[in-house]
Parts: sequence; structure tokens; C-alpha cells
Amino acid sequence: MEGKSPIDLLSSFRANVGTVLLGKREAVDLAIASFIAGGHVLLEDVPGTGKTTLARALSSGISGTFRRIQFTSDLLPQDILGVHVLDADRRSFVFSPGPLFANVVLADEINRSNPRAQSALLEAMSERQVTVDNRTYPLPEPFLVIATQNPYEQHGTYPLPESQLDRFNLRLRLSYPDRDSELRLIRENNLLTMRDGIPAALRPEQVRALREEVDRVTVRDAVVDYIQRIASATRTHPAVRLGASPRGAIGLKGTSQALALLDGRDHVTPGDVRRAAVPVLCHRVFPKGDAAGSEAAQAILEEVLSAVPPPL
Amino acid sequence: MTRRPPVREFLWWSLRAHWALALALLAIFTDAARWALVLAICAWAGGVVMDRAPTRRTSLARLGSPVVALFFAFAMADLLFGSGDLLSSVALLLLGVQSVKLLLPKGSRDGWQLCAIALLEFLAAAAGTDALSFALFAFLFFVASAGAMGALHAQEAEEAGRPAGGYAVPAGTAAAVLLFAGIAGFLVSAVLFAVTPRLEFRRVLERFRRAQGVVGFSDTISLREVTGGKMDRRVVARVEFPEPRPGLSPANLYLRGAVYSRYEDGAWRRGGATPLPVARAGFQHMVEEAAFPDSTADITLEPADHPALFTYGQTATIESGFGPILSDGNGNLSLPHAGHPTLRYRIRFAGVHPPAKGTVRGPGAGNAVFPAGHEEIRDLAVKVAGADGSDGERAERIVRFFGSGFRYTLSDPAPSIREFLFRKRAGYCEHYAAGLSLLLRGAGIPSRVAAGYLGGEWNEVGKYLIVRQSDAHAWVEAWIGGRWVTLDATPPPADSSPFRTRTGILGLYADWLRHRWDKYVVNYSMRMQADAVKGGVRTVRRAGEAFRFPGWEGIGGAGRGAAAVLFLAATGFCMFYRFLRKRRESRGEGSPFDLPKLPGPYARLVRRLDRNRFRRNPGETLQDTLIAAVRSRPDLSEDAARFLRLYHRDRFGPAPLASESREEAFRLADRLGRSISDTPRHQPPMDQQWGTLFP
Repeated sequence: MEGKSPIDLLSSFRANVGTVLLGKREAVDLAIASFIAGGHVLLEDVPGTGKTTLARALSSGISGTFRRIQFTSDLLPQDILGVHVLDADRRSFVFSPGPLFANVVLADEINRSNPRAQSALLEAMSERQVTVDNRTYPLPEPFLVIATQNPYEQHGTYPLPESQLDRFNLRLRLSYPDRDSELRLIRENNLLTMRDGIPAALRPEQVRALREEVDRVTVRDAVVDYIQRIASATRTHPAVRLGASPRGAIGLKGTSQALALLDGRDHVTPGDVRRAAVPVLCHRVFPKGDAAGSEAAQAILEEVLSAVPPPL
Repeated sequence: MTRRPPVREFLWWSLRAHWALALALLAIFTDAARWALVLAICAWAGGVVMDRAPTRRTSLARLGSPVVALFFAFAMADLLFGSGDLLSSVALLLLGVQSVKLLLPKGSRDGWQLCAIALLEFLAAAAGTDALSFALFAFLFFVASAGAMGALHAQEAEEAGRPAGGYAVPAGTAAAVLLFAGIAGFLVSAVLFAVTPRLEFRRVLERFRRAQGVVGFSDTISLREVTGGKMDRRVVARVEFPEPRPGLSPANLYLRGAVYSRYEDGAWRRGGATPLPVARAGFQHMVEEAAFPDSTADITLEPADHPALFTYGQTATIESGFGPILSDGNGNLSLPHAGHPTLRYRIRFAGVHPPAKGTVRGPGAGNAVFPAGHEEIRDLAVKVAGADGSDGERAERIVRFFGSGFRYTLSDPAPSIREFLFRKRAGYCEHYAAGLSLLLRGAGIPSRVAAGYLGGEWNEVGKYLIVRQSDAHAWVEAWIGGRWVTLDATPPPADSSPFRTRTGILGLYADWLRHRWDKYVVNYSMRMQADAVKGGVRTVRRAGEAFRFPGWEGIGGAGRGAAAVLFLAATGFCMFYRFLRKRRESRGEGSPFDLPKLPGPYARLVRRLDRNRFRRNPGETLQDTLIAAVRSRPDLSEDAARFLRLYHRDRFGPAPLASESREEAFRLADRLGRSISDTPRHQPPMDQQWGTLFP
């Protein structure tokens, strides 16, 4: 394992995750891409489609720490961040880190918790640090939040505000598996099967090395221009209330770079950008009026992609 | 803020063409001052140069409004003190605004304004012209506008950040539609104008103009009318001599427009006879049966307010497309109505000295009447002419009388004929003509005063005579030996005379172009068509006789014709193909700003994919399109994958490919493109077709 290049490590990591999540190759690729690009992932779909499985597979693929927070309506910020407790021996308050202090944090059913707990995630996700009682603690590196939510059960939920949605680099929708994959799933599994036990392929420092590798992937100006044109086209689309942010465009570039690296290339093609555009920008585009669903946003993005000419 | 946004080349070239076209319209149809046109053309050239050179425009941008002000001042000055022509002043102003817009454009909004202004100009110019040229320019203009509008639309979308290409029409289709629409529009309007009387827009416009009345062609001619005309450099007529008599010198010909035979109260008046239409047969008007024509002249008269028709010498016939010609029997020819647009007619005339044969009509009683109350002039006439000798010799003596002691002057002329003859002895052509005519009558020789133009400037470029207002002249016709003889006592103007116009070679070419325009577009007629065909056939035949290729005889006429048609078709096809290709290339195919131009083999592959309709929307990458294209050709997928790897590395990689890899990429692109062109469009399998037929 030591002698392997980061690229080889990456492909074995990808293969491992792929064995857990059958027939979701694209979603797995995108999730890994976001992961090595350093962007948080929001998984969204109906229950039982493998959201948690993917999150667990991603986290167990690296040999870092993994924590899971089940978001409920009575969750408090200190339940996530940690609290200062009195150390009787030393007669002082010491910080007892919450579950956020891990390399991979799975925030399950994030829309079930109240806005206070949700906003506690906010600082952590973008600043990669935590402030409790005026004291700031850095989070471990790498740090990745994988959140899941179920968009169809609206009763008793607090939908994520736009600002928090923007902090997720990627929103993935894990639809139902195709027929063959589902047949295989049914055949091979029972209710007790746990498919989390994949071998850890990456150590945290290797993830850091991979991130540097991602940064080195060439993005020509023409591609940057293409990304910018896509982002600005979402802002001027007539059916859009709020278009993609510059952070979204940056995320699109990073994810495209990671996708290129996953494909074993050292340069980003317009195809990578197109591949990453919908998952990266979909949750950052807010359509006007009643069509506030993610389907509408997706349709808008696809329209934009089909109209903005890529560089040749 | 005034930094010029990146603008597509095509857009601005199209706008420039648009602008230049409007300029040409102005130049041809209105009388905008020449220097204004020169200035505008300089601005145009400046715009082109600045567009080519990476000049900073921030400092120049400040010039914008002063330039407009300058042009505004020019326009006002021109209106008040210059031409006095509202149309040309407005045109000047528009030119100024346009030049600024073109020199310092800030975005598509300027483009739209440019288009709007050009349209206004076009309408103004079109209003002053007639059918055929209107149709022709409508065609040209709308084709240019459509291109500019399309480009502007794209540009605006680009500026607003919207995805460009709202309506994705293939360039070829668009060009074809445009061409067909333009040609159809041209034909329809040409036919429409041909079968309906001319639109008299010009009449409406003339109201805004100052009267153009040309001096001396009213019913009277007094001593004070020529001076103003001598300063005017406007062209009055252009005359070609298709069949001249040998030795004919156009510069010495008298172009006669009016004849005056009554002298009353110090002014010459026309004879009182009622003008009657001359006999005509088809296009031929028989003016004077007795004359023996030996030369032909094609006269193109510029628009004028008076009805006079101009002729040379003794005119036998006038060949023209317009209605009746009136003659008062005393040499005055005119149209039934005052004021006419550009006129073109052909006259057959006898030169200066036609032989007098047989008995002809007399000079007419009015031409011999000596006005009462000028007895001292009669005495002078008798003294000068002498009693002996023929009429010719006596007339000769009278003409010679003016050769000594008389002074030609425009600035200090005698106030009356009597002053001129007896005391001051200084005057200009009208003094000489009036004096000569009175003396001739006093000596018993019938005579009359004629007014028109003497000679003109010979244009070597087009071999025709340019007659200007400054060539206006008055002379005398005397009845000697049974015919009218032209006598001129005025001393010929010296070469250094300020009234002799000398045009530079460029001016001659410009005038020649304008003449061609008047001849072949504005006043094109059936007769000229027939002439042209005849001339063409003759030339071809002559050329055929001159060049005899060995073996040429063996090929039959039909074969030769077929070869010619094939050659023409091939040339046309090549030109059309090149045009389409150019257009497609100029579209830039997404034009990334830092990448070098798409290399030829890649561009060809893209074109082939597009031609086979594999691209479903403009947002598709080459990768998507290529994969869609090779879906029906599994044998190509390996090549495609390999090509895509190389292509991506070449176009988007950290560094361009090494030459051998590049060669390979080009080769693969070529092979893929060719195979895709050969593949028929992917058809759905049979069962799917049945499925749609029988749901």
C-alpha cells in the first residue's frame, strides 16, 4: 500500500465503494470526487435507497475517524460541537469534543433537526473550525460532512436555508437501482446484512496528498470561461429567482478537476464540467414561484447546459 | 467604462458594410458635399485601423461628443450658407453621429443605433430615387441589415450573459433563405415598379430644396442672369458621342436649351408661338425633317426644374422613352411639364456646317424684326457691316467688330446694351450675344439669341463630356445662306479662366461611376438592353474569330455550350461553398478566448458531425457528439476513444501535443469524419419502427 501512487489508491478506493453500492457508479464517482476535492456532500432521496450506505462506505474507505450524528428535532448545538466540562483533577474546564471532531461526519436526516443545530454545522463546514464559549478549536484534516435528507417527508422538518445549502458542494440523488442491480441486491441481502465493512484504502495524509493532486489538474482558461458562462447563465435564466453563487462555480471547477483525476487525466475537459454541473449547481439554483422543487432546478440546469456552447 | 467589449469580428464588419452602403446611397442619390463624404470615409478607415490595432480608447472616447458637435456645426453651416439643402445637411449630421458610433462603439446598443441611422438614411435616399435603383438597393440593404441584426442579436445576448443563439439555424440555410428572400424581393419590386408609374417621391423632396432653376431657360433672358450660374460647379448633363462625325470636337459644341427672338425692354424673350408636340414614331421624335444628321449624342440630363430639352446643332431626331416633346417651331424644345428627374435621350444632329440643300423654310418673321427705338444701333450696324458683300461677309465683319475694343468681364459689366456697344464696352457672353444679334438685325440679317452650354470637360476615363452649370453660355444664330449659322462674338475663355473646370483623375473616375449608374441603373431601357445584347454577341463573335484553338473546331456548338455551363456552375458552386465555409468558420464555434483557433482537421470533424445532424443542441461537447455518432458504428468506437484522448490532451491539457501525436490525432479525426459522413443517418431498428406504427 505504501508504494502505490495516489491515483492507484484512488481507483482501489473507488472500486471498494462500488462493490457496496451496486449500480450507482455515477453517484459514487461524484461523491468520491467531491470528497477528494474537499467538498461536503448532501445526499437526498427517499429512504432505503442507500444514502447511509454510501456515506458509511465513503467514510470507512479511509482509515480516519468516523462519526455519525442522527439529527432530531431536539438536538442541541453542543450535542454536535462538544462542551467544556469541569476536570475535577485539574480544577479547570476542559473541552470535551463533540461528534463533529472526526474525519468524516455523517449527518443523518439533517432536515429533521431545528435550525439551531443546523447552523452549528455552518461554521464547521466552511471554516473547518469550531467555536465554543469564545474558544476556537480546529477540526481534523481531512474533514468531510456527508448529510442525508429525505425530501418527501415534509412533516415536522426544517428545510435547509439557502445559505446552508450553498455550503454543500454537491447534492446527489440516489434514485432506485436499475433492475439488474436490484435483483442482485434482493438475492444477496437480508435485513441483517451490513455492507459497511469495506477495507480502508486511504489514510488521512494520503487524502491530503490526493487533494494536492486534484489542485494540480490543469484547467485551461477556456474551461474556466465555460464554467463562468454556465454560472452566469443560471443567474440570468428567466425562471430563476436566485442563481448559482461564485462558490458554486469554484466548487464546479474543483469537482471537475477531481472527476478528471478519477478518470486518470491531468486536465479538465468540458465533458467533466458538464458531468459535474447538475449535482454541483442544482441545489444552488432556486426557481421562481411554485416550481421550487429540485426537479425544476434540474430542468433549468439542463436547459442551461444545452444552450451554453462548450469550448471545442 | 468605455472599454470596448470583445466584439465578434463579423458583427463589426457587417455593420461597417452597412454603414458604407448607406454612405454610397447618400453619395449617389443626394448631393451631400464631397468633403463630408471624404471625412466620413476617413472616419470609416480610422475605425477599421483602430479595430485592427490594440489602441486604448479611453482618451479618444472623450472626443466623442465634440466630434458630434463639430459635425452638427458643419451641417448647420452647410444648410445656412452652403448648399442650403436640408437633406444633405441632415445626412451630414447623421454621418457625424455614425462616425462617432463606429469609431468608439461601446456595445451592441451602438450597433443598433447604427442600424437605425443607416435605415433612416436609406429611406431618405430611396425617397429621392426611382424604381430600379430602389429595388436594387432594397435588396442589398436588407441582406446587409439582416446579417447585422443577427450578429447584433448574438452580441446583445453575449453582453447580457444569456446563452447566445436563441434560434439555432444552420448557417447554410440562413444564407440560402436570405439570398432567396433578397432576390425574390428584388424581382417583385422591380416588376412592380416596372408596371406601375414611377413613384414621384422626388417631387415631395424637391419641396424642401431651393429652386434649382437653371439660368436662362425661362421665357426671358436679361443681362443679369449668367453671373450666378458661372460660379456653380453642378453637373447639368453628361454627353456621350457614340457615332461622331470625324473631326467633331465636343469641347466646341454648343448645347442649346433655349432660343430667344424678341427683344423688348432690354431683355430677350421667346417667340410667342404656342409649343406643339412634334411628330413621333415609337421612340423617335422627328424634330427637323430638313436636317441631314451626321453625328449621334447620348445626353443624360441631371434633374432640373425647367422643361427645356438640350440639343446640338440641327437636330433631326430625338430618341427617348419619355412622352411628347413640344416644339415652338423656332428651335425651342421642351417637355410638357416643368421639372424632371434624370433624363436620358439620344439625338441625331447635323454638325456645325451642314450643307444647305434645296429650299428650306424661312427664318421666321420674328427673327428679322429690329426693335424700335434703337436707331443708333442700326446706324452702327450699317457702319460696321458695310453695304457690299454677301450676308456671310457682312456678318463676319460684325463679329470681328467685337474682337477689338471690347473687354470680357463678369465683375464690372455694362448695365445695358447701349452702354455696352457705345461706351463701356465691357460685359460677358450675354452682352456679346445681345449686341451681336441686334447689330445683325440692324444690318438686315435675321438672327436670334440662343442660350445653353458651350463645350464642357471631356472625361477621358469614360469618353464623355461633362457639362457643368459654369459652362453656361449665350450666343447668336444667324440666318445666312438659307440656314441657321452659329455665331459667337464672345472671346473664348483662356485656359486659366476660373470657370474652366479641371477635375482630378479620382474625380473623373467618381464621375464616371456616377454616369454608369445613371446610365445603366437609373435610366436603363429596352433599347439599351438590346444594344448591350447586340454588342455582347458581336464581341463574342469577334473574340471567337480572334482565338482559334487547335481541336476547338471539332467540338460542336452544343458541346461548347455545355462546357461553358458546367464551368459556370462549378465556379458558382465553389464560390458558394467557400462562402458557407467562411461563414461557419467566422462563427467561431464557441470561440474560447485563450485557445488557439480550432485546427483544420478538428474543425472538419466538427463540421461533418454537424452536417450529419449528430449535434442535438449547442451545449453538446465534441465528446458527446462523437459518441452519439459512433453508436451506430461499433467498429469506430476504438478510434473514437483514442482520438478523444488525444484531442482532449491537445486542446485542454497542460501543454499541446507533440507533433507525432498531433499528426495521429489529425489522422484519426480525418478518418472518423470521413467514416461518419459515409454512414447513413442512424435508423431505429425495425421492431421499434413497427412499435410506433402499431402502438
